[in-house]
Formats: sequence, structure tokens, C-alpha cells
Amino acid sequence: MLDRIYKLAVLLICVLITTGLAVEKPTTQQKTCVTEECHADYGKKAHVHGPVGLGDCTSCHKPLSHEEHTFQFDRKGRDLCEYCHLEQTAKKVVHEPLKTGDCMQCHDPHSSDNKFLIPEKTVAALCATCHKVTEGLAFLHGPTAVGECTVCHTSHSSDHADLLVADQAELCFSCHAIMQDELKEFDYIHEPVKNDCIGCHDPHGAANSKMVKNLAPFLCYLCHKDIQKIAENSTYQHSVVGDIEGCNQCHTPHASTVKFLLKKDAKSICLTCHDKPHDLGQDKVLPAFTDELEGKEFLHGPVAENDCSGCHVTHGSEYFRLLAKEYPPQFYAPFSKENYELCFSCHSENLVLTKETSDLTDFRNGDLNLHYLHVNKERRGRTCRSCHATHASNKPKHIRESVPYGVWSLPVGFTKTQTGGNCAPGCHLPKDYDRKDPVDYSAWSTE
Amino acid sequence: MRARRRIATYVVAAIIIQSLCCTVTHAGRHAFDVGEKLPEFSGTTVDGQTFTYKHNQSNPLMVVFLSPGHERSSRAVKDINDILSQLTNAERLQTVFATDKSNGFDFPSIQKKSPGNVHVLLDSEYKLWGKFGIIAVPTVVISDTNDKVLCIKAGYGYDFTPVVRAYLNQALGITQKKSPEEAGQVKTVANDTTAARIKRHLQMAKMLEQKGRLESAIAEIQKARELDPNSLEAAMELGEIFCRDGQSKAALEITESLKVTKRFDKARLLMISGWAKHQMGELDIAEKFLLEATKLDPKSTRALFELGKVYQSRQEIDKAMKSYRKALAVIFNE
Repeated sequence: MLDRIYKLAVLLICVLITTGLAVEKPTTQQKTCVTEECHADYGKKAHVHGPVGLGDCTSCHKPLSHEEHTFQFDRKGRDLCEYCHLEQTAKKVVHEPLKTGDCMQCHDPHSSDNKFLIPEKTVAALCATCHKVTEGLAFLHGPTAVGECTVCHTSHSSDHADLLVADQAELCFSCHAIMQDELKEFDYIHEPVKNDCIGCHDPHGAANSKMVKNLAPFLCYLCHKDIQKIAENSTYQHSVVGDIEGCNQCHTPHASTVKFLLKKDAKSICLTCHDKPHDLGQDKVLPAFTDELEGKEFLHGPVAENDCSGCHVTHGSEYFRLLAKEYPPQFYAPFSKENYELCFSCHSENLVLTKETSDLTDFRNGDLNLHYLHVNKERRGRTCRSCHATHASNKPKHIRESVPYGVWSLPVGFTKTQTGGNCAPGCHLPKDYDRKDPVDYSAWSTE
Repeated sequence: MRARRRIATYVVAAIIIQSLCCTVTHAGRHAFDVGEKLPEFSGTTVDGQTFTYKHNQSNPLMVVFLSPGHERSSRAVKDINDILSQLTNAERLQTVFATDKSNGFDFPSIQKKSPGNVHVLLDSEYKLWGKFGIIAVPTVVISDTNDKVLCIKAGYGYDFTPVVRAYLNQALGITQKKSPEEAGQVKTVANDTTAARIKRHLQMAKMLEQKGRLESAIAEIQKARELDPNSLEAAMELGEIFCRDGQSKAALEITESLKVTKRFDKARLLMISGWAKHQMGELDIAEKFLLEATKLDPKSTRALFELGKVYQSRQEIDKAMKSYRKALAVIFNE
């Protein structure tokens, strides 16, 4: 019982104290609401809304009843703010809170310790209350990292998508000015670089330092589906293409002075890996390309031009050694045009289709085309590789020193002269040829 | 066994004969080399006209050997079309397409752009090919106004367009940044160089500064300085922004640590020092620095403005107004 009385006494004292200390609401019209007694905090923060600073609360609050100290907003929705803050929504794209007239989602209408009357210490912290764009990202884009979202975005309205302050490409180049300057010097520019940086990059950040949305080849395959198809479905695949960041081994993602956005000249790129032998499995080894060139004086045209893609395709092929087209791998082959598609990509097919010519080739005895004679046979036609080294040799026209014939290496024994040459191969008896003064072989058998 | 021995004997004999007889002639791949005179020639065009190339006509010439049905030839034609359409001073250039078949390329559209200068020779018997020693298509041969061969570009590689364009420019006497020999060298955008990264930080600092975020702007410039502590531009920017932020001591620390030789760098350094000294209340030395700065760079609006402020602080209103007006005149390019 005593306990109950004690509790009631404490409650009574509390009520009396509270009533005694409480400021009575004014019941008449006041000059201002921000006084030492009332709403004092509004005027004490670092940044005070203009009308509050002037004590002019009626700019926004219209008294309903002085006696009851009740008010209503002077205008409805965003009109309340836009009455003074003109044209915040005038542009095409309007920030969602502004559309719904909820300016107070981002601004304190009275005062704040932060600039622009925002409730958070930084703009980034404010934006992050709704836009969780940086969560879990290991690498942040510069403006995001320093919490300056408004470097790229405007907070109220914009004529550009995503409330960007400028057209996307223009915006990126406003900081990446060196790249913009540099691009003027380049003829070959990756299409997205011109106007769609965010096609590849995440403008807020990413799990990788380049801030790309995904790593190559997956990122590249989003557009280059044709390459993906070749890389994944070809009979002969180029291992580097499928590697993570493999595309970047050969290509530069922004711009190059040469075709295909190559990073270096084609041969140097290939030699990044093919300067050493490669194990192809099943006891097969692809020899080092450098070994094939070392000390060699006469190079096959594409090799001389540093252009391995003259014969090889880089992403994947249906032909061995990643060749671009059909090319007989053996010493003998019955002649058909289709077997030599690779060679005919540069050399005229008439080289082996025309029996007689005075100009098409230097390899002729008088007008008899010796290419035709060697290659164009129904049975046992000599393939190009029988006489020519594919990449290089120390003989003119990159003629082989010797040819593998079973387990033997047969010498070719080719010598060039001013008007012809002679061959002393293992294949047949030594023979001369001369364009001006043809050697008479009428007594020899045709084979 | 006997047969094998016999074959082995033949092989050894062949090797010996070969080594005795072999005399390698180091002939070029083509009938002429770069620097030599291009041979005179004539041929029949696809529309039955005769085209003749003779020496001493003072016209550069490009001969392009092509074969229809060859993908690389088609690509070369397309690229050459693009090059020709962008070429200035091209009316002097004679272009000859030598093809072994009459159809397969859209030559009329190229001819439309440069009528009279583009000739399509039908060389189905490979006479011109033989004369030039052409064995692969496409092959482009370019000669200059003295009929000397500047370039023989065989094949259609990654560098086809820049190389052909560069040699055509050379043949036409068009000035170019790179020598034709360098045209095929591959260059890529270097956006990850230190210089590029510094520039990005400085650019962002400027944007932050415009937004009044001086603290963030200073942090950006400091990042730039970390990348290259010797970057003069970053140091100067930092000095200026320190002044703008009222950190005059820090600004002076920067300027005192720098050694500059160029006139405008000196002017900027003096301007920052003068600005900082004014903030520190050392008006005489501030005036001295700012006067020197404006002497070295009369268009430094900041130096003129700060000088005005120094005079204003001294209540020398006429001098102050004069300096402010000078600054405005520079701004408005008067």
C-alpha cells in the first residue's frame, strides 16, 4: 500500500515539474518562431535556410489559428520550394524525390550543419541512403571514391539520362581529357570509346582496377558474339583467346594506329608467346617461331611484312595450325584448287592453272610454267611446302634447303640465276631452267 | 639393303654437287627496289582506252595490283577509296588499278570521286605484273614526282592504310607529323600513363574547386603529387588552391620548394607567393611579388586581381581600381 502511495507521489511531482518547465505555446501572432525559447535550434546550425535566418517562417508556414498555434504549408507539394527555387525541375530528367515533391528527403528545410542543408555529412552519404551503387566494390571511380557524386550527376534535373551533368562521352572526357586529346591522333577507335564508355566501364567502380563491368573475354563477347562463336566452336582453338584477359594480350581496348586495335605489330604480338616451343599434347610440339626465322635471309611475304594474319587466323580455325584457309599438310597431294585456298588468298590461282605464261612467274623454262608442272597433277602433285619453306629460308623465294621425305631430309639444292635457276633435289635428277634460253627436256619423261 | 645404300649414295652425291654449284643470288622480291625509277609502262583500261605512264611528267603515281574474288584485294580497294576521298591535293595523283579480271570491284564509284585520275587496267595476261615482279595481291607501288619508287607494300596487313596513306602524302608533298617509315609503327592510347593519371586528378580537382569543395580538391592534387612529386603543374595547382583556401603558409612552403626556369612558370610562382603574402598581411612583399608576376605575365588575371586587393588593403583605391580594371580587360579580351 505504502509502495503504491510512493509511486503516485513521484508521478505527481513529475507532472508538476514538467508543467512548470514547459513553454507555453503562444496564442497570438508572433514576429518570428525562432527565438531563444522556441525553435531555437533552427538558427544555431552552420547552414540556415534563408527564410529561417530572416525569421520569416510565413514564407513556408501559413498560420491556421493563432490561438491554437496551428499552421499549414503555404503551398502544396514541390510548389512550396519551387516558389523560390525556380526551375529545379525544368529539365527532361527529374530526380524522383523532386517529382513527388519530397524535397525534404534530401534537404532539411530549416537548417543543417552541412552545406546545401543536407542531413548527411557528404553528398555521397546522402545519395547512398537510396543508391547503393558502391556496395562491395573493391575499386571506386575517382569522384565516387571522394564522395562527390555531383561531379557527374546533378541533384535536381538534367537534360541527360541518369541526371548526368553532360552528355555521357563529353562528361567522361571532361576529366579524361588526355584520352580525348590523344584520340584525335588515332584512326582506329573502339566504337564504345566514341560515345559509350559505360558500355564497358562501371562509372561507380568495380571489382577490378580498370573498372570494367566484366573481364575479357566475357565483356568483349557481349558485343563480339561472332568472335565468341569462333573461339568456342572452332576445331582448332587459340588457347589465349579463352584466357581471362586474353583479348588484351593482342588488342588495346581504346584506340590504335592500326587495324583491329592491335597493341603492337602483328608479329611482335605473336612472338610474345611463340618465341618458345609450345607443347600441343600427344607428344606434339609447336616449334618456336623465332627459331624458324633466326639467321634466315629470305622471308615469306607476310612474315617480311610482320603480318602473321596473312596466313593464320587468330581466334580459331577449322584448319590446322590456325590457318585461315585450306592448305595441304603433306608433301604430295592430287591437285585441286580448293586445296590451296590459303595460298590463293594472295597468289593468283593462275600460277598453277596456266601451263604457259611469259610473265606470271619467274619459275619457268621458256614459257613453260614450272609451278604448273610441279603442282597441277592428278596424282602426286607437289604441294607448295615441298619446295617453299613456309616462313623463311636462306634460299631465294624462301625455297627450302631440304624437305622431309619420310624419315629422310632430302636436299632441294636450288640455285637461282639471272634468267632462271637449277634444282638438284632428292626428288629428281638435277635440272636447269631458263626463261630466255629454255633447256630442252624433250628427251626426258614428263614425270 | 642395297637399294637403300644406293639411295643414300645419291643423296650424299646430290648434297656434294649442290654445295659445289650453289651460288645464291640475293635478288629482291620485285623487279625494282625502293629508290629506283619506276619502269615506264602502258596498258589497256577496262573501257578500252590506253593508259601510258611516262617519266618526267611530275605526277606521283600509285599502282595497285588486285585480283577480284580475293577478300584482301576487296578490303584494299575499300581502304584505298577511303584514303583517296580524304586526300588533299589529290588531283596530281594518278592511280592505276591493275586487275587480272574485269569485274569484281566497284571501281566506278572511285572513279566518280576523282574522274580522269583513276585508271583501271585489265592485265589478264599478267604483263604488268611480270614487269613489276608482282607475285601477290594486293600490292601497292607508289612513286613520287621524280618517278622514284617510294613504297612497295605487298599484302593487306594491319598497317596497310596508315602506310599507304603516309607514302601518298609523301608523294604529294603533304606535310605529316610522322615519317612514312614510322607510319606502320603501332601506337595505342596511353591513358594509364602517370601523366594521364596526374591530368585526371588535376582536372577533377578543378571541378571540385568550382563546386567549392576545396578540401576534396586539395586531396585530388595531393594524389597527383604522389604520382609524380616533381610535377610542376601539380605543385603550382596545389599552391594556388592553398591560397584559395586561406592556407597561405602551406602555399608558401610549396613555392619555396620549387625551382622554375620558364618565364610563365616564374610568373605563376610569384603570383602564388604574392597572394599568400597578402593573406599573411605582408603587403609590401606581396606587392613586390605580384608586380614581378604581372611584368612576366601581363595576362595573369589572378596576379592583377591580387595586386588590386593589396592596394585596397592599403586604401590605395585608385591603384586598386586600375589593377582590377586591367584584370577585367584581360578577361574580356579588351
